[in-house]
Amino acid sequence: MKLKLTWLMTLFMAFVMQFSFAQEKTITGTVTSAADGLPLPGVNVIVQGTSRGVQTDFDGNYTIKASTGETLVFSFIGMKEVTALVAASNTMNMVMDEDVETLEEIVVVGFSSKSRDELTSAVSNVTAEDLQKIAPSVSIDNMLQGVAAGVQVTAQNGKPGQTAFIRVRGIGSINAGNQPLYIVDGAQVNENDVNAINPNDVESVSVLKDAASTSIYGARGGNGVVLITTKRGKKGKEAVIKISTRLGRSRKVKDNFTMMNSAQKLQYERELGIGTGASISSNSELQALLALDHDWQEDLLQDGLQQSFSMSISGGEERMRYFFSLGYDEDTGIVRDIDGYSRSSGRLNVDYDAKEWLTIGTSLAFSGVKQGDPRDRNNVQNPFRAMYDYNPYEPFYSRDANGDVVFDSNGAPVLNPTSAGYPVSSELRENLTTRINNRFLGNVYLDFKLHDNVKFLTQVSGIFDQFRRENFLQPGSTLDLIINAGIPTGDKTDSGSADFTYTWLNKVTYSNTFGEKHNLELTALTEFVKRDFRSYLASGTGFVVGGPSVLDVAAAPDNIGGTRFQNALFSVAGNVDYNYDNRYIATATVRRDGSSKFGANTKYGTFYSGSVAWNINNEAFFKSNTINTLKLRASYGTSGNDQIGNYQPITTYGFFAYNGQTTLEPQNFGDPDLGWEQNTNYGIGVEFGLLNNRVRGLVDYYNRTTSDLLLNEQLPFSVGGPTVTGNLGEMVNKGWEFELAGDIIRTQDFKWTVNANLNLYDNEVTKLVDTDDSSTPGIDESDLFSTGNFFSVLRVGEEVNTFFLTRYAGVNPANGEALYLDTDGNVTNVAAGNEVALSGKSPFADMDGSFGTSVSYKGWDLNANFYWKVGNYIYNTMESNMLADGDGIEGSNQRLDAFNYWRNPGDTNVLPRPSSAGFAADAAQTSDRFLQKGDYIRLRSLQLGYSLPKRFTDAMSLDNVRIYAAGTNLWTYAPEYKGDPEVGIGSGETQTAGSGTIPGEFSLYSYPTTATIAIGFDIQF
Amino acid sequence: MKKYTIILSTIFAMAFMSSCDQENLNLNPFNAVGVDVALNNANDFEIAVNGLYSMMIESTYYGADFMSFPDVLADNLIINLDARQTQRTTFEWRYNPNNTRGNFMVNAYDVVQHANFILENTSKLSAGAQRDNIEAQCLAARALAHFDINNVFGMIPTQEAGANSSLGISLNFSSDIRQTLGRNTVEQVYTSVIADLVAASAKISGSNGIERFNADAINGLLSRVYLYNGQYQQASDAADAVTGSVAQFGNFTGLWDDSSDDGVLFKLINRDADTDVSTAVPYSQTLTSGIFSEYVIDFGFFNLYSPQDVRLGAFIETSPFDGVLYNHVSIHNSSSINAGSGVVDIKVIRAAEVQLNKAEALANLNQDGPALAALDLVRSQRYVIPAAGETGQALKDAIQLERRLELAFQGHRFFDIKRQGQSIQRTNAGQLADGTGTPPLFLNLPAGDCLFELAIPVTEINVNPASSQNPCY
Repeated sequence: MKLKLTWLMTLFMAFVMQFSFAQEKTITGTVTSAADGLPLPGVNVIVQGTSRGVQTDFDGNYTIKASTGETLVFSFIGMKEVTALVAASNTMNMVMDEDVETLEEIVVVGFSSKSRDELTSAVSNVTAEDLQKIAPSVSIDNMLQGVAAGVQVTAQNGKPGQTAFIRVRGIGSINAGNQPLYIVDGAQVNENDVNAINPNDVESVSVLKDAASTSIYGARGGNGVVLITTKRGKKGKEAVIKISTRLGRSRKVKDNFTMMNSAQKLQYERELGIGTGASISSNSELQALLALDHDWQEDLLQDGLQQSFSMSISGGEERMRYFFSLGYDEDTGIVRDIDGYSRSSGRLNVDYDAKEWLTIGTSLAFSGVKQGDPRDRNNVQNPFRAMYDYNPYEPFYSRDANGDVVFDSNGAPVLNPTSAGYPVSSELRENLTTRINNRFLGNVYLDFKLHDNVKFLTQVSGIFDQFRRENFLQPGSTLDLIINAGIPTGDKTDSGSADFTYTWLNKVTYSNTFGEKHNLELTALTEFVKRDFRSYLASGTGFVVGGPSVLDVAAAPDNIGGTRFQNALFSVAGNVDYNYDNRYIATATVRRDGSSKFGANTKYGTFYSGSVAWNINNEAFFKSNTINTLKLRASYGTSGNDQIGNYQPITTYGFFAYNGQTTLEPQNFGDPDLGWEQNTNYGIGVEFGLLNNRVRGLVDYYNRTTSDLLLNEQLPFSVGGPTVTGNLGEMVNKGWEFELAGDIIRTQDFKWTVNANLNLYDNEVTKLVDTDDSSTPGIDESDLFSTGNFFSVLRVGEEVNTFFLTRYAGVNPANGEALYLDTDGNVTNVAAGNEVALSGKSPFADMDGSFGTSVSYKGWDLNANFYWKVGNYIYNTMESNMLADGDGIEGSNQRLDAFNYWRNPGDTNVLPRPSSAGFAADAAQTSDRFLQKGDYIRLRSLQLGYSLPKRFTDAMSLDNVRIYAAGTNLWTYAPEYKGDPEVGIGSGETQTAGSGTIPGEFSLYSYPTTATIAIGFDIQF
Repeated sequence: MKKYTIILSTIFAMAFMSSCDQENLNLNPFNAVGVDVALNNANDFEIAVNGLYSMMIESTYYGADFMSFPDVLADNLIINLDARQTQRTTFEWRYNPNNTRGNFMVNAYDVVQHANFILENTSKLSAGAQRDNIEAQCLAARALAHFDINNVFGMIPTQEAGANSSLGISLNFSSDIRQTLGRNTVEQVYTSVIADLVAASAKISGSNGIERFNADAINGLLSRVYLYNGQYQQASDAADAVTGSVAQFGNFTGLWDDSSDDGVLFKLINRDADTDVSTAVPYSQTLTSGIFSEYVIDFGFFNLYSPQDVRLGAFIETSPFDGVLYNHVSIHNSSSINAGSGVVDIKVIRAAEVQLNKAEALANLNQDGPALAALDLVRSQRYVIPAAGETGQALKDAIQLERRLELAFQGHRFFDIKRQGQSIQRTNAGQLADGTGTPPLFLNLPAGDCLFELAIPVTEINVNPASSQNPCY
């Protein structure tokens, strides 16, 4: 011990001595920019190998203490780092060159990053700066709407925290998943996990669109790849602390139709002779009902409260970089009595140069999400159905004969069960579902610099999702009493899962430049991905009224369950990038994937791509003052879609029960040849910049053929009628993408930029499982209905999921009957059985796009972004209930235009004659009467911000203070569709985001879209 | 130093890269077993046989559909148009290849496929009583499924003169799902059904309970098949081989809430915790405002039950829904065991039917005395005062009446009309308890109408080139 102390003392002394013997002096100087000779404020000046450092002041001057022989390091963002040895002179002025590379947009492409210049493929890139201009959302995928050409983003519904449907370059699949592959800092995550990420942590989002860029992801890349990169600290940068807060309100987007009020509904009922309106016998009775008039939306909905707080600290020294953040987000949602969404998140990203040849680092994030769920299915428990269905003259609380509110034995007012027979508020208050996701997301890596030209990276990434869902049906609640014959019982269901996916990546990169102009980069990598999912379910009944709800309290167990699955992927891939003088660029990729999801005979698939680009503007012969950038790109390649389920190729027998004993029954008939869906893409593109790059744009054309489409082959009923999943179909997506942006004004103080993009989509199914039998003309046996098809069909030669409905032919003026066309086009009064495929009408848009503007003047900034969509159709199931032709209208409020019905022979432009007392109409039959064009345009986001001038922030010792007001969905115009036109899932519990669901096929009382207004406050110091 | 680093790292990298072999990619499900290892030991076979029963009890087969649609098709029920109108096309004989009993067909053939799969593997077991019993149950399940499918989509031998040579259904004797099966004649179907049942009766264990095929059940089913096939002596003989006796008057009501098993030869056990099928749902749902019926008993048929008939109370409940009185079919509504609404055991065959099979067979052989005796074994347990002593046509009529009363709402009526080449004639009564309300639009399906053979599902026609459609469609 003593010896150690002595030794330490000696060491300490040695340091002290060194300090005192070194010739420390004060060095001053000015740092200027080479480009314009102007002083550079804020340049970091550090004595190499120490923590001593200063920044240049507003005039580019600095003062630092250093000793002769030490080295000063000057670094500044956008400038090349320079070093200078401290010599005899006490003045060291420095001139810094612009670092061209860092000023260029760096795009993360697969396993590497490239500048825009070097890209040979179609990649959309969204940076943190771009994201800041978009009105915020808790889930980053929702923020991508309209931002990237060829990337269609549709909110699943308006539920807080809900993720979005993202479709890259059209619809790639029918039965397998259509979601792109999500990679967060190298880790594969589920689409549902995206809302675990705090958008404030995101540095960039790249969407890889063509096979040239996606084939490096092989069997997973077929639907495109979304690469999310989180922020990291920067070398030699003082800690920057950012605090952001935001407070907002959300409200259901206003309906573009009007429901009846009490007087109208009662009148309607009187006219038809049914319901309450028909039985009113006195004026006082009528007046009493009219006095109860109210809008159920006001009773069931609220203005949601959105709050967001986040804080980040990032910085770096010579050998270490860090980014740290904490965030809390809350969105109550618009349903009264339910807390919609909250998220707590934290992140720490660290990189450390352990050796000159070794960097170690990690990205670690935690996120806890808690969600409250209203029932989202088409039944009496759904508040979004109730708010339209409930009659406006039915009060919220039950009334007695005198019109007084009825109270129960506890003195609480009794909820009115209404004519639906069930008070939906009871559902919201007494049948509670809470979902909790705790996710750990991150990676650790070792990055070796083996040689000047050779790098080796090994990285292990993982995401662990611990999920818990609790549903408690309170004893004594309305539903409880219905289920349990009036005896308060209560029911609790706990379910959940543990879901762990890890990815182990090993990558070797060789890069070199030959003869100054030949740039070569070779990459070889292996990747192993494994997912392990386990779930459980337990439920019990018998709880105490007003008592606790854990399962231990349950008097009797009710149900148990649990399952598990695994999948694994092992891949080897290689990539060659060749760049000649930044003029000719070529990239080739090959990847071989082995997947546990594939059949025994098709375990391995090989995917490849090649792409070239020509930067014409870098050619010596190209001399143009107007055209600054001109680039041609072409690519061809293959990739796969492995979202085909886990054990599909295996014929299996499952375990069930009969009479309390185990049974063994066939569960799946598998095809051992089953493999991935194959995407073969080719595309060409032109990028250009005019007038000093004040006008920038690109045009892309693509052709994407998905072959080996997963389809369920129906086998004869006489062998048991199983369906066997096989690679059987084919589909083609073609499209054009246009992007144009222009800086109308570009001065120091005043910038005004406009931008727009336009996408044209064309989809055609080219092959399905069954072929048409020519001996039965008129019957197309090749039609295929998958489980996702509610109102649509798959047919060769048509767009995927073309609507399959009977054609409505208006109203017979003679008798008010609804008329239809039969399959041959003859007029009939029978709707059922006369369905035809409505060529050209599908849930998918023919084109969409966005346009926006961005203005900044001194401290002010204004950003607006519109999104529009044309050519898709939506089956408006809600309208068929709101214009129900008198059917069941006693318990279902109607739209005001329901009055426009056939009354007298000769009436035209009317709704069919409704059912009334003594007359039963063939009411509101499913037909294209309720199929509506989904065209719309929407002010997706609007933001006005103000950054305090530097003299104020300096006085407060702050770097930046910005306040802003932001709104989303503030204005919408839908010429034809009645309701909110942004339809994702029609019904939340019937359809899930997984495979099979057709986004926007129909609307059916899912969580409504909301408009929000928020104010925010960002401080940086 | 640097050189070593490179070498070491390269080795390290190579080790990384080769560490993942194919073993990692051969993953099997956790909740199931592969086809190759599904049947290895005797216990595997036993639980696979249990699977036959749970497959039979699915809602598209015995669990709900087959316990309702043969009654919906016939004259026992009247649709309540105020309800959800389930099975309306069936009720109105408006089925077509797109809308027929396809799910029933699939499910019954599933049972056949699974039975064949087990039978193909029983050679793995050593010969003996256990293997015999396994095979017997598979044969019986296959026979019953073939029989049930045929009677829906094909003719029944006694239906008309040409029935035997007409196209029945495809017989399936292999578990191969890639085989293509053409339709067999009705005669071939019946021959096969009888052969399977006869083989089963020779192999079945004497100790099987009523929750699975047993000797009485197989003989009872044989009496039914022989009766449908016009082999009356064999029907009577098979009935005589059944040892179980007709449920007694006092036990009869308990039969339907499963508090009694008196007279039950074979039933599919239906429990909340496993199969959990609501047999009542095709008929009605029980809501807070009462029983909400999809179908109520035809008022004309209702009047055929005498007030002293024990079945009246067991089968029918006259009660209001929303203040309006209906005669609800409540036979499947309550259980003494299960909490789930309409979760009751499915009585596949009972001793009473066997006696009625025998009575009908003997009456057709003009053995009126023994026929009456068999009939009275049933009647004496159903009425306080049984009717007395019919002969000749009166006896035959009495047997048919009793059969209709006894087997109502259990999936028999359509076949009993069809096999005798009769017409379906509904009473022109409404859905309300007193026969008023909205009478059905479709009252009569004349004898010989091709709609007695339901449409072969279009999918079967499309994907099975060897198949063919019935004449009507």
